[in-house]
Amino acid sequence: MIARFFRLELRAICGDGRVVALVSIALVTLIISVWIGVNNQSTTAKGRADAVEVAREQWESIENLSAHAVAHYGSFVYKPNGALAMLDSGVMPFTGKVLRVEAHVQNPPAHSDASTWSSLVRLGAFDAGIILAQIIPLLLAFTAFSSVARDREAGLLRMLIAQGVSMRTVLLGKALAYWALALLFLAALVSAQVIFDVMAGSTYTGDTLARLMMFSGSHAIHLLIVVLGSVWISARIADARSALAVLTIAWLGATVLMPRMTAQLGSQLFPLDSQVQFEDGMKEDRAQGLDGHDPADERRNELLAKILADYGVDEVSELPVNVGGLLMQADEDYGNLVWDEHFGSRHEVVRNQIGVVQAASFLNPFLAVRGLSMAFAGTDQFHDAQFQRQAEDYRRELVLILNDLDAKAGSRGEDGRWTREKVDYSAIADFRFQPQTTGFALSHRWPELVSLLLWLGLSVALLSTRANRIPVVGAGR
Amino acid sequence: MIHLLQFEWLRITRSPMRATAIIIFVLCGVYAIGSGVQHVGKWEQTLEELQTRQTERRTEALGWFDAGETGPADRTYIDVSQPRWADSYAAAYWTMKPEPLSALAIGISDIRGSWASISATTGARPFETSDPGTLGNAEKLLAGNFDLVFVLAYLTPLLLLILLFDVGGLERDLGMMRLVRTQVPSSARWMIQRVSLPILIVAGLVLLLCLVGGFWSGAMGDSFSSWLTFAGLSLGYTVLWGVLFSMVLAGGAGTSTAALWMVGLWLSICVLVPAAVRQTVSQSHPVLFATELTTTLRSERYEILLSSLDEFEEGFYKSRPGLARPDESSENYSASAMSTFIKQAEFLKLVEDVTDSLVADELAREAAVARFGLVNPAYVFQRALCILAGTESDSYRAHRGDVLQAVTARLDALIDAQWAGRSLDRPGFESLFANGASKGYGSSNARITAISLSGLLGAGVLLIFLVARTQRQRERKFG
Repeated sequence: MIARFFRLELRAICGDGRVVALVSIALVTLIISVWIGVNNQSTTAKGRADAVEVAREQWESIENLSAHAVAHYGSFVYKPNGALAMLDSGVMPFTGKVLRVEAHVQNPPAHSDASTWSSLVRLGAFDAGIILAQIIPLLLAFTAFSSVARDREAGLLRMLIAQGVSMRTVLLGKALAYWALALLFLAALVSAQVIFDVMAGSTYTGDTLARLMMFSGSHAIHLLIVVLGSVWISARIADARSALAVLTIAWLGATVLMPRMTAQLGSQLFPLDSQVQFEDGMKEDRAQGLDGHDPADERRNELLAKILADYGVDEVSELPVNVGGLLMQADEDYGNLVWDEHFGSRHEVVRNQIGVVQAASFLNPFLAVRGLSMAFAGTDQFHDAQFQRQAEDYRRELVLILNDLDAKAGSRGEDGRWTREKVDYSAIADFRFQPQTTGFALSHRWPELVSLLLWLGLSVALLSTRANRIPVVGAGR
Repeated sequence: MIHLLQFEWLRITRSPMRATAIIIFVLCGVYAIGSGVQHVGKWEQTLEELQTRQTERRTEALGWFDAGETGPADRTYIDVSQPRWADSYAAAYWTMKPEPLSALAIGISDIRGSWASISATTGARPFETSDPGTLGNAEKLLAGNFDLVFVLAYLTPLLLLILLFDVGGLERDLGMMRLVRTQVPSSARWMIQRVSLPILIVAGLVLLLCLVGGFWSGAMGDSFSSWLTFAGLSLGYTVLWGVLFSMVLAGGAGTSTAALWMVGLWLSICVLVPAAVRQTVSQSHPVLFATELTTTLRSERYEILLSSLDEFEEGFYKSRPGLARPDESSENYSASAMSTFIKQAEFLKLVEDVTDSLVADELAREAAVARFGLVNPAYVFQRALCILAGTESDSYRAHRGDVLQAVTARLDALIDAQWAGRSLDRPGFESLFANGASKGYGSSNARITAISLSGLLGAGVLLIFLVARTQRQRERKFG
């Protein structure tokens, strides 16, 4: 019986010229947007490859610099776009994508897309994540708002109930029809993405496919929640116009107001230090440690004495290594403790802020699907932090190698002077980003997943158990 | 006329949904103003922290001058009377001061850095303000800011939609339109009279929010003319939406068709068109990986540092005819210090060139966006208000230009001192403080206002024409 009502409602939707026109225009627009997006993705990937090549050429052409000077010269690492970043750009436009790795300092990434745009960047993006989570629900609300109210006002609902059809059957049949419409958008978007991507030469790994399925699945669940809610409101509220107003206000509250307010609340509950405080705090802590560049530094001289004692010599000129490299690495080790402390606590605060939004997702399924969508596309804050983490690990490894070369690549002459060997810096490997698995996304976004499933259960239960309380006749009859 | 207005008033006030929508709109507006004021408070706090940092650094150095010392006791190699060290200790920041209207139009002030350190020896780094999103919570930036401009640009049309969507449509749904037509002299006038009260109510609420925002942020007192333009643009935008929706209603659709049309328009103008423009322009003017800039800041800088001074000396003295090559036998002349400055000057030239090139890219991108201005009124409106508030990209470009100029001025001052071979005394050291400043970048430029208003008007006329034409065709077809 549900299937019959599903077919009937679907036929009614397909017979409504306005809806068909709207859906057709929307589908064509979306597919064009996906095509433009895939092209943008290719341009960005090529731009990244060019940038990596330029930076590498510059690195490989280093001459006449000591290993520690090379550590100061540093390198650049470039944030890669994930395979599914085009589906949901997430936080990527707002975070830096170029990071300079150099000795003595942990730089944050710079040169975000947003830093070169005008305030247009504030007015939304045209990616599948936004369209599926924000735009399609509004279209569904505006097509489903009169789905039950219309039948009630025409007296059809009364006839159906009189013929023994349960209200639950009617509601579920209608909801499934609107869900089918929503799935049409989802399938069109995702398959267009895959087709254009494959045409552009991309290949999908098992993990990418798993992410794609999770991405589609979470949006499908969210859209089902939306249609169940819309049909319920259409059934519960006496007239279609009030149902429309309620749905509009609900959509506005869920997708526009609450995300902003929740983010504000998070930053008020867990405030971040200003950039000035952050920098001053690190500088102060850094000043407590060893300064490898300052010959008058007390800690430096203590370490120097220890090195001399360890090697059993009295003078630096008797050491079999270049002491500069050892001092610089000690300086670096201390600096790393400071960066870990300050960047670590900053990341912790951000994690707490996101936690507030995750908790609020139990009140608003849009927040849940937005978090999941970004996570499965590999573009949420946690994935971005992984780029920073891996870049910092690379920096530490690079500086360690260079300080080691500075200490050991050379020989001491009879006059006690240290002579450096010529070093081939091109042998040092470039940065390689290791993408995160789907498990990583799930481990950070399980609250949203639980929330979405709870919302689904609640919506189905609402339609199943409370359907009998729905008025069969309108207020005017 | 009065009866119709009374009817509309009752229709709005007796509908719990509409009353709720009005209350939510006002609450959102007040919350947005509060949130904007809070944002500006944090901005000002950062500037105060910079001021403290700057004062501490300067006071420490001035203390050495007063005590007849050259620097910290444990670092005897530091001599703040020498230009190279004076540059480091005469701390100066070029900061972007929030305008009173910034609280109402946050713009991109939470995305871009609003200050830069002015130093001639650590390299000119106008782009080296790290992205706040990277250091903070980028998901908060993604959620979007909640300022008054957002409420006006996004929510005003929605409030109008809720108040207007069944005007005329309900009569058609109930089959009463013919009755109405027989009772009124002109159905067009009847429609205008019916939509005018909801539009006036929304315009009144917009004005109320502008007034509250003006008083709360201090804009009414400190920059009244800018506030007036802000309020005028907001009212113009409200009327534009009112006219647009009225044309939809006049087209003769039922409630649900009118609602679909209105939400389609809102969705197109406030969400889809800006996003589509951004995506299209991203393709024609992609934001890549700043290779030009990173090459200058690293590779080319090192090339200069490692090159022989001879390569740059000639150009350096040629561009500064007031300076002659110093006599190297002069006891005050420091070849290495002069070399540092000559190389920094060469590097600064490169930074200026690459900045010009990046600015040209940004301007080309914005010109491409501006070409869609007629179909992108929400953005035109938002941009006009942000320009007034000094929180649009134009302000940040001007700020970046000022930073570069300040660095150039600092470098010139240090070169003069170094070339003269003199140590800086206390007044000379203090004169370097002038390289820093705090400046607001808001603009009440009449041209911007005129362009914005005509853009909005043009967009309105175009959209109204398109909508009315479509609706007329429908009327002809379906009656």
